[in-house]
Amino acid sequence: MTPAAGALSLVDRSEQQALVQRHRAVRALYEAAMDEHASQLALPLEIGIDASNSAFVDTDAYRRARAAVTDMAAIEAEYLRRLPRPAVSCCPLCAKPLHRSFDPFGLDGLWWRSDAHPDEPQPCPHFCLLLGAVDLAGTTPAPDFDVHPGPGAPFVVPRILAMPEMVAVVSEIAISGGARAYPVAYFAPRRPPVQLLAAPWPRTRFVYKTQLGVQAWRRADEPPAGLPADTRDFDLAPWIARGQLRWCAPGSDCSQLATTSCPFVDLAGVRHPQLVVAAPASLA
Amino acid sequence: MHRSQYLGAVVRHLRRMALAGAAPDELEAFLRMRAGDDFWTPTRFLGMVFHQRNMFMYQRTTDVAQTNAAWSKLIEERREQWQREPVPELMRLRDYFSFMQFCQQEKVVVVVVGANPAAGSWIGAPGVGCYDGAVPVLSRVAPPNAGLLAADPSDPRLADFLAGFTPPLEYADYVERLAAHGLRVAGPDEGFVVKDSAGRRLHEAYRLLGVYDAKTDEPAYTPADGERLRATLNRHLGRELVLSGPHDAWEHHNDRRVAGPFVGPLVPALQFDADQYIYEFLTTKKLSGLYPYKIRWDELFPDHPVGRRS
Repeated sequence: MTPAAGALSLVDRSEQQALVQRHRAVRALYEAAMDEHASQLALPLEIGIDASNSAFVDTDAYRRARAAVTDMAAIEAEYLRRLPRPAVSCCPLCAKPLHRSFDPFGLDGLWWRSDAHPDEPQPCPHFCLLLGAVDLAGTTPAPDFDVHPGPGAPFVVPRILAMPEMVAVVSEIAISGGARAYPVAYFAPRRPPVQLLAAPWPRTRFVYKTQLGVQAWRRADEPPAGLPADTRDFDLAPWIARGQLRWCAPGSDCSQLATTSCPFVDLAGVRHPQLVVAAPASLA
Repeated sequence: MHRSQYLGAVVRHLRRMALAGAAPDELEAFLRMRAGDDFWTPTRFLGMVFHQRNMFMYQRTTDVAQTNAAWSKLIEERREQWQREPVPELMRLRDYFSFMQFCQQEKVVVVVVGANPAAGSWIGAPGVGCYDGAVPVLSRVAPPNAGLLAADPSDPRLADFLAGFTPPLEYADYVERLAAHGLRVAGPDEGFVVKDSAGRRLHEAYRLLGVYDAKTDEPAYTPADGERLRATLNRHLGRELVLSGPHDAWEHHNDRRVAGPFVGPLVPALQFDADQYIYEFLTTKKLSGLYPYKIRWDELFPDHPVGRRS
């Protein structure tokens, strides 16, 4: 898959907000309609969701709920389809830019949900994993859902960098309103066994299938079986000295790695995973 | 066409009525009001609720007093069993619709672990979040704050819960483990509810036990499609109430050091199929007979052979 065509992509926060607010309004309708439908049924012995079931009660509220959930699905699909797929990193092995879906227009965009599942452009064969951090810089996003943006400063995971010939690349993307995102992409000549990788940023669950065909998942903060919990190292200089951490210049198009001094060393910021909670009045 | 469905709220209600001294014909009248033209469902349902299979049907006579006497005896006979039997339920009635819609739309079979219905009223409440993190936490069943997650040292379930870890956890260790994940335990005045790093009180998430393709019986929660399925189910639920993949695909589901008491197969549970049927699984033995599990039980739960062989 190639990066999304520019004409279709969301271009600014107002376009993103148009979708976010439509989604919020439809979801509020759905919530109210489902509550209303359930309240009309009291304590049923059996329930149905269509006319094939004799217990089906087709209330007006349920018709509204069905229409709303269809609308929600359509808005979510449009949002995911129109998400920008910017270059967020650059492979240190083949120099190919890494394009990933990303919502730079605010943490209230659906991309930041834990269960978002956008289609991704085909990466180079060396790409292993994208982690990341967000310096909220005093901004107070008000999403309709919990967001796990990672720590507030760029970091590396020593366990992953200990894998053969693994190199991380840190970059920076501005987020509307003043926050800054720091994608940290990992590349290696040969991808390690997938089960040893980790949940991609900013998801909370890592779903994988091993070469033996075993399908499994684990939480982002759970270690792989038999290993200790991952640590985050914010002290980037030693990794740069070892040649295991490269960077793209802030504000660049990530088409090449920078060779000037690394601007990401010793950045201030929250050094633990942040939690941006759903705005309480999001359905009001 | 009627579907066989197990709706825990009705089961609990009938048992409460019986315990409060309601006569059997009152129980039947309650069911008949809800069964429409379906003559047999009320008596069949009584048999299921009070562990008497078809005995209510066999002992029905045209004499109401005689039937009441016979049925009272039936209800009393198995009181010990039905009183302590767990009742798998969802947190809200509306969630049954959501699971049914999801299963029909995606043509999947979902087995979901029974939840605490007291949590339903907390969903979406200000200052309350949904939790399904790395450290399992019990949901309060008694006031104060019934339905919220808590670590109440006086909760009789907690001792068994902590003993379920390998090695068994002391209460202080458990609180420390929660703290390491950004969770803290409030005081006794709040029922020892657990709060997250944002200070929110928490209710449980739905814990899926398994998600299988309705036609092929293959696992449907795959790397390619799993999170789309989770997002779709959450859309039907109206918010993120499913925060994880199915328990039977969790990397640590057989490891007591991580899973603690949530190790292995979890019951009681409800199965939603793609055609609006809802079945209950109260024992691992019955669960192991569900086809997707029957064909891969030893592979999924090697430490729980008790399931279908006992």
